[in-house]
Amino acid sequence: MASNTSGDMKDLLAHVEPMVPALRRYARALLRDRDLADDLVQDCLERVIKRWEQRRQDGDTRQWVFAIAHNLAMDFLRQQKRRGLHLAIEDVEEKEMVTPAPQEAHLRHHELLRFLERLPEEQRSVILLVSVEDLSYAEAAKVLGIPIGTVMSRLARGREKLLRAMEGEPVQQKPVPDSPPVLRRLK
Amino acid sequence: MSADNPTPPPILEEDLHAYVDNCLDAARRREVQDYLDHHPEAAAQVAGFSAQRQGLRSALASIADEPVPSRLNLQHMIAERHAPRQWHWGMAAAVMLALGLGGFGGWSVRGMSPDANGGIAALAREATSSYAVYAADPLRPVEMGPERQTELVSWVSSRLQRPVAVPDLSQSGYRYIGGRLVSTEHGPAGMFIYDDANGTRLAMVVRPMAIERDTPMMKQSEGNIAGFTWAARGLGYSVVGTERADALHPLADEVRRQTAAIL
Repeated sequence: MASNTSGDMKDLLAHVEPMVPALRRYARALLRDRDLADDLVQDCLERVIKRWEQRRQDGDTRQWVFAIAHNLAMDFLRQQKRRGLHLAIEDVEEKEMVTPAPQEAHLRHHELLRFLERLPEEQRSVILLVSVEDLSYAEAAKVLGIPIGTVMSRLARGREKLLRAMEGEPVQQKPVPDSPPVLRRLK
Repeated sequence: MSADNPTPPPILEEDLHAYVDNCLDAARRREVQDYLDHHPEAAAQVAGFSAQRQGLRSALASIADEPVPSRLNLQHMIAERHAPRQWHWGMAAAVMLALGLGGFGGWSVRGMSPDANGGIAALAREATSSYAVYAADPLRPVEMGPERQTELVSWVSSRLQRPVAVPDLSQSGYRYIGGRLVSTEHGPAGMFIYDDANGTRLAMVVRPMAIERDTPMMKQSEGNIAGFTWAARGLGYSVVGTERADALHPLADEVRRQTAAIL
């Protein structure tokens, strides 16, 4: 029995430990706060450890782990909304989100993340899972518990919106007259 | 397209995204490419999506490159999960052996979990369990009251072989009520306890650090006890209490400010 447990736990380590950096990234991109995101990942990993032996052996581990993290994030965001709290409470600086890159790229990244933040939550998660975490459409559908067609339409709507927002944002040239005012940044 | 091929299925929106995400097979990819060559607007949009995808990846890449904080160390978490409630170290060690994770030395050598060997994550746990045992005791939380502060400071300093001082938190509304020497897995530690007007207690635990001798502040929480732990110039500090973490944070900052000034 002990050796079973030992094997299970070794298995867990081998499968899940390499995912931790990506889980932190996904959680931070959703919650926009380093500490809260790491709290969430910790919670996620605790659940993974607790449920490891009951998971579906035939299922994909990565998908299963991301689904746990995603559901925790959604619970958290719903709670925040209910309490009317803004997420970025204390000393969350932009440097916590991204490492400073050369100035212009850095600005561009910052804007991209800011616009991403304003997308509806459901589009944001799809974009992150597919574009950043490299999940296939089918995997993203399982993580989010939605049909693959819905993944595709959320991805398309989200990307279009993000593209329009970025194009409407003058970085160094061409002010675009018709950009939606809500997406404008006051400097 | 050769004449004997049937007309390819029409290019749909989802094909464009699948193109951007590199998940089309080679044949379909060529068809989409061909379509884009003849439809500049779609091509511009696809270029925009690709740039967006790349932009997000680079913007977020650094997060995944950060060292994973010790509290998210999976080996550690697995071992701890098998140690019920207050830290039964013998048991945790037995579990780790049973799991074939090797001794602490092996961990350090592999660089996987230096904190298991007495770093700030260990100090954080020790402070939490000391708080639970002593500071939460309603009747006799301290061994030496505030009137014996000098005596306690010299006792703790001599046992730690480092000069320590009792931070003054009165400006933050916390009164020093005394302290004691406590035992940890990594040797003796000093514990100084405070309370506020409502009787809410917090404690600062300090001990020398063999490793992780200078670290930024780390947040911790176990049950209803939260805290912040860091190390500076070889001394580790942990400020713990039942207050919410965001209320403890400025107090920990103040302790860090004062202890840094003393050093």
